[in-house]
Parts: sequence; C-alpha cells; structure tokens
Amino acid sequence: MNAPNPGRYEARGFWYLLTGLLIGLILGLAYAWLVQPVRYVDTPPASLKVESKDQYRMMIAIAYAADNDLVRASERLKLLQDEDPFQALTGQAQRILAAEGSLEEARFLSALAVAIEQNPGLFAPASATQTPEE
Amino acid sequence: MGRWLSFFVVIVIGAVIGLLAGWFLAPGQYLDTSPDTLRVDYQADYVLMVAEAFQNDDNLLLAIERLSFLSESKPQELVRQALLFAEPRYADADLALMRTLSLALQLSEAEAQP
Repeated sequence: MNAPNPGRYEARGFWYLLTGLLIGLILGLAYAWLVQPVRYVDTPPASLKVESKDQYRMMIAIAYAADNDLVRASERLKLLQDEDPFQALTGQAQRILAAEGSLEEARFLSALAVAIEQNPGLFAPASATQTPEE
Repeated sequence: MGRWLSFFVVIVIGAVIGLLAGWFLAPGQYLDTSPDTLRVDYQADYVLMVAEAFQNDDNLLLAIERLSFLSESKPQELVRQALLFAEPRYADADLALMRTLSLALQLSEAEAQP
C-alpha cells in the first residue's frame, strides 16, 4: 500500500484551478467574439465588407457618370483605400460581365477607370473637395 | 466539495477575464463592417451620390433601392438625416440635389397613401 504523497495533491490542486481558469477564459472569449461581438460604429468605407465596398464603388461610378466630377470621384475612391483603384474598378466591371450582370453598371465602372487612368495625378497628395475625410 | 467549488469559481473568474479581454482588449478585427455602421458624413455623402444619380436617371425606385444599402430605415428618413448633416456643410448645388430627392420621396409616399 502506497503512502499518501502530499506534494502530488498540491500539484493536482494547481492544475485543476488552471484548467478551470482556461475553460472560463475560452468560454468568455467565445462569448465576446462569437455570441456578442463588439459592434463598431462610425466606421470608414475602407472597413466595409467586400460586397459592400463593391456597392459603394459602384455608387461612386454612377455618381461620376451623373456629375462628371472626376476630382470628387477620386476623393471618394480614396476612402475605400483600394491598393490600385484602377484595378479595383476594372476588376469589378469584369466580374459583373462574367456574371452576366448589368452592362450599364460595368460601363459606369469602366468609364471611371479610364478617366482615372488618364489622370494619374488624382491619386497623388490630396486636393480640396467636400467629400468626407478620415 | 471545496475542490469543485473552487473549480467553478475559477471558471467564472476566467470567463469574466475572457469577456473583458474579448470586448475591450482584443475586440476582433476592425474589418467587414456593414454600411449601417458608416460614420454620418460618409452616409451623407452616399446619399448625395444617390441624389446625383437620381438627377441623371430620374428613377425613384432605383434611388430607393440604392438608399437601402445604407440601412433598413425608410429612404425618406435616411435622406432627412443626411440633409441634417449636410445643410451647414455642403454646397448649395449639392443640397438642392438632396432636397429634390427628398421631395420626390415625400411625393411618392403621399401618392402611395389612400
């Protein structure tokens, strides 16, 4: 018959407390991230999810077709923080065409892309417009 | 019994720490937000874009559909909120576009009522 080993009990005591703490941490983090995540407010367009960014970009192109104000359109595009705005516009137009979407929308996007390509200085340091700034 | 009680107490302590960490210290990525969380100036600018497009195509149904991108609120309310923000800040020409859209929405709503 083995004699009781007090040291071993102390070690077990420590580990079960640590296990409980870890279980609690995991539960707490899971609740905070998955069940009741932080809801952001006052976000910029750059943080929008991809589909929403596409919709926002589309609206910029439609507004450009309406007002023909390239400076304003470029200031708005900057808000999306696309790495390459020309690529973003043409890529979206191509996706629309590939999905047999609206030809008119693809044209709006392409028209803005072409205008931007012809005026590369627009994406150099800012000019004053009244579009929102971050 | 004491051991089980301690076990559950540390679980609760861990959960509280986890909640605080998850909400305040590391609240996840500031990405993939939805349009209704956009700051009011961006929302107002979006409404201005819709108003510019409306001036061009005169398609109120399309304008309403475009406004629905921002939130599920009534389109008229979205334009009203945008105008409240824009009135002291935007150029007269832009305000005129937004007011035209607002008026068109009001007329459409009035016509829809019996």
